[in-house]
Amino acid sequence: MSNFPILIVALPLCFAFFISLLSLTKLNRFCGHLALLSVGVSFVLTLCLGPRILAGEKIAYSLGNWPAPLGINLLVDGLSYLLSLIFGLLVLLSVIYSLEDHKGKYFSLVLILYAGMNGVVFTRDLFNLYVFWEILSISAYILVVSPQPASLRASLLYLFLGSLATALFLLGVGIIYALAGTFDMDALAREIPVIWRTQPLAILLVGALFLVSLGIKSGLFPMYVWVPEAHSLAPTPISVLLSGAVLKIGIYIFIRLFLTLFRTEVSLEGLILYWGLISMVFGGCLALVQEDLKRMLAYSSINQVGLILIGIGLGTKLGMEGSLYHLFNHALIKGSLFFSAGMIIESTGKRRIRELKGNGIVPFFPRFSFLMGALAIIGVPPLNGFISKWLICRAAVERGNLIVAALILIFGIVAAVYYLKVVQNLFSVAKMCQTEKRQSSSIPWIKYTCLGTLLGGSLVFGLLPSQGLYLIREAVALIFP
Amino acid sequence: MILEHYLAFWLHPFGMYIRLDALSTIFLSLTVILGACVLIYSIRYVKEDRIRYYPLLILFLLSLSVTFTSADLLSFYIFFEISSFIAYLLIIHSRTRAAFRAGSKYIIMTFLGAASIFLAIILIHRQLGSYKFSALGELEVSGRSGLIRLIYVLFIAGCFIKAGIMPLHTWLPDAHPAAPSPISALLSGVTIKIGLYGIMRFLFSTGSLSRLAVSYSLIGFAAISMLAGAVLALLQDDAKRLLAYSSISQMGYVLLGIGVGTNLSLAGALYHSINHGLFKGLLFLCAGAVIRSTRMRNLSDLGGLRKRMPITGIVCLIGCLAISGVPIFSGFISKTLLSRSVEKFFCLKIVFLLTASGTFASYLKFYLFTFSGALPQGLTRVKEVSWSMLLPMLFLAGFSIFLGLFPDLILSKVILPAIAEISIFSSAVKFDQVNPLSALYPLILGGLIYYLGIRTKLFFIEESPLWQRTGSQFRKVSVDRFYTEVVAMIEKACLLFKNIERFSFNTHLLFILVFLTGLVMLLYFTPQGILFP
Amino acid sequence: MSDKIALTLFLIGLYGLIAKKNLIKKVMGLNILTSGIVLFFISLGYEKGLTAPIMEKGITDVVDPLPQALMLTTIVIGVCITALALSLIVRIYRRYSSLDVKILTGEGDE
Repeated sequence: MSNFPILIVALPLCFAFFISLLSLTKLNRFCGHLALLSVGVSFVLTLCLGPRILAGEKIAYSLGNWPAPLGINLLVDGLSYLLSLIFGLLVLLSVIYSLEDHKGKYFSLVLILYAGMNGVVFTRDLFNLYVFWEILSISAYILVVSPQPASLRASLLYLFLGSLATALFLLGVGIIYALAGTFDMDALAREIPVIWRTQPLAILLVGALFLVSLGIKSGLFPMYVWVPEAHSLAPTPISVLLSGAVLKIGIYIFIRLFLTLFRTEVSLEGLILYWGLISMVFGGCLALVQEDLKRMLAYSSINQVGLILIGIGLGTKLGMEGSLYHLFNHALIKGSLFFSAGMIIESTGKRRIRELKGNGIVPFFPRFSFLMGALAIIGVPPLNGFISKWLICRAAVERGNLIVAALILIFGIVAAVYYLKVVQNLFSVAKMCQTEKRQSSSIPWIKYTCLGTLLGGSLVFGLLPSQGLYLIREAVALIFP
Repeated sequence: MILEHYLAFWLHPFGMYIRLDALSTIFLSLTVILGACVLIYSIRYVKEDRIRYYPLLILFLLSLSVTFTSADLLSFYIFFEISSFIAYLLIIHSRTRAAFRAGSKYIIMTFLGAASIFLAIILIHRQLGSYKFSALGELEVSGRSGLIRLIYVLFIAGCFIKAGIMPLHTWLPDAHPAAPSPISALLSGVTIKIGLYGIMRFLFSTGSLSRLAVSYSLIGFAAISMLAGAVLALLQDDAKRLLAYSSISQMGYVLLGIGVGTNLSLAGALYHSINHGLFKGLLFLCAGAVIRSTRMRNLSDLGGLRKRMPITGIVCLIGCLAISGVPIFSGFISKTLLSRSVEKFFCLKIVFLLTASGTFASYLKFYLFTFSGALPQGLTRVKEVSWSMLLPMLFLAGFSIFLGLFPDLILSKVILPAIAEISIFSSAVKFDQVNPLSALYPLILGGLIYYLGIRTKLFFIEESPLWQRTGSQFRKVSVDRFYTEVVAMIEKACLLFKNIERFSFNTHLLFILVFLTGLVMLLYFTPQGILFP
Repeated sequence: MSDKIALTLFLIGLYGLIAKKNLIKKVMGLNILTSGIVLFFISLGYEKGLTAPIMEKGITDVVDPLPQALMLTTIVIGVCITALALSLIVRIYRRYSSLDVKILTGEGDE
């Protein structure tokens, strides 16, 4: 079982290669199924790791049998496992969703994206992390391009910001190497407190560089520009992946680096808290006045990522629990929201919120699941968003920070305003004409299964928070032993 | 007897308790009775989208029931929120523009109230480490008085929104008319009681009614609601709006009973909650029957339906008499109990008298405008509604009379056990030595007000010259308008903020650079990190 | 010395990326920025007087080979990104007939 980590990363990469070959032959149409197979196998392997990880074990794999400081190590612990689980689920559903609409190289890019994401969360080597991060970013840049011509500019915008972010990250990695002479995270965790005593300023510079690059990648307030553009113009399954998985990578790296590596006397808690707060307020306010459905969802993602950061910034175990739970929940909820938004846009051909009014041609299920997703993200019990929001609020109050708790709740209501605006338009009385009805394309049932899975997930993790907390317990134990 | 049960499957690590005591039983039975009536009534009333309506209605009743039987604050909040949201879906059932507007206002205000309650609950949990109602007794001594006061304000304000107490009531007169009539009956009969139930549970569990400040502020808000609700009800033309404003006023009565806090006043409050649930439900069902068969809802368009819809007319009359506090009907009992409990306060007695007469006048208007007078041209072919709609109304009317005829039975079997559980005093309450003539003053005054209103045409907002002159001024000072302005201002600010989207890419990159340098400087000058607030 | 050149290159690249209005110039800025970082890494391993790390007998003073090896990867990634960016720009130019940065934030959409 110890070679599962490398299999999980390598399998999609190999299949990506074969699929791009296959797409040149006449068997083009089977690319999707092959991709589904490989993602499925990888996901099953991830699941197989579950019992051992959740029992508190860590599974390590050394590439080429070189031991830790020399070679590259892959390690699956609670935190990586949680993230890998989210990625596996979302990629699997996205591949299923796109089976009908896409072909060929699209799938090989999705596989590369998947491999990159898993690589980022498994690796214990800083430079290796950078490489995997670039791999996933590049495939994400390309995947943003959809048949819509405007998506080209979104892709380029994302590319500029993403490359700037990774370049800053690489610079930080270089400075760390100059100081510590190693890329291995475990070695760094020992070295950095020593270096901190002699050269604190260099460490602070590295911290600032990392923070900015992570901020860009997870779409925090002053560097959020790519989020609405890329999310709204990408194909639906890619929007799901961007919002559910790619944004989370920034948060993962932050937790990994700053809460396990840079354990110095500097407390970043206040900074993270306020940063998250500003992002949340900003995302909420701008989502309120958006006209485009998917753009609104993108701003709502900024809002939610801000909420996750707040939980981390509170610096208590409860806050971290809430944050990680919300990270997981947000992936489920935003996935279902983007999927249903995609279906709605597909079946009406309209994406402005105002134009959705009185459209009897949207099938019931996407509308229903949009409603449920909206409820979950607003934080209405018994759906999962409520539990995580509750945990974060409790952490804030226990930290004595009433205003933060109040702001979180108020922005829950702001979210209610902008989501229910869409829901009202979706459910307003149908003025169906025959011509329109004929135009509407029927949605294949296989897409409904994606939605159903995510919805079921948010119900289960709302009704049984013990299961969700069980999933994140090891990850929290990593940070607050 | 108190039944308590731990539901393990739900919210497992946090726990959820279901508890049935006498206070819960009162509200639970009210929910069940009214719910059954509404279910039967809806068979013929709701024609469209039944596949959506019935599951929602049943979920609504379930969540209301659990709200009343929860033994801890958390499950109270959870089901409060669930029932609020389902109520939203039911309010927008007709899916017209007006329904959506009313629904939005309702849901935003209710969520605000829920958020405020939630914050209070989290604070309580931080102070006590428990969510259970039974642990609340230690709240008073658990921390700084400022914090405790904040908890009170948050919790009670949240409940006020739900109960439609005066400055926080504005969702109520919009939501009731927009909802289908059976839903309005439930909203008014049961849902808004959640707020008062929450206040009762909370205040009696914490024992904070001995604080004069709490007591006086409750009484103050109650008096405002009573008076303003009654006055505004008088001026409405829309039948269901009239009933909605009257609900605000009646909730004021109940809140007053809670605020005074003696056994007598509590008995009155609980009695009035039951009564109000029944006769307001009945009145909404009557209004629904009238709307169903005439397709009109403005009182000035209606008239003379007594001959066309005789049974509806009779039950409606019973409801009107009951709510006006005429002897032998149920409202008389509870209003007498309440007014006896405030005998010592002269101001409150005046408020009582004025409210009761205003209520009577508005229901005179409601009944007479609908059922007596000449039949308008368009209504000559109106028929009585079907039996499945009449039966629940008849049942509720009968119940109202029953509650009015046997006050001692209800008091001793239903109300006093509940009071014994929550109240600190232990004195018996009996309904005796009552002079039925005491009900005469408000009735006479109410009749006078009605007569004056008709003569001066104050009741017809469009026709009255006084209204045309001052109406716009009045609307300027309305609370509703204030809230709307605030919301509009927030939206305008967000729109202004949206301009950031139009900045060029280079500007955004510059932001990032500035942020980076700022971050470096910040970390440089505060090497110990940004201290936690 | 070389790290100062690296810093200069990095800053020039940053300036190009932030201030230039032409998309292609922005890509050039990004490239210069990356090469600044590459140079910085190389300078970490380099020390005057040391030889290449070819493990023959008698050679002990060798430079750190790791940064050089890693920079090959970075250069490859840089090429990849440049290629992608330029191909996107080509298609954007065909669509909008302009290379102005304003296109990126949605000006010129219908």
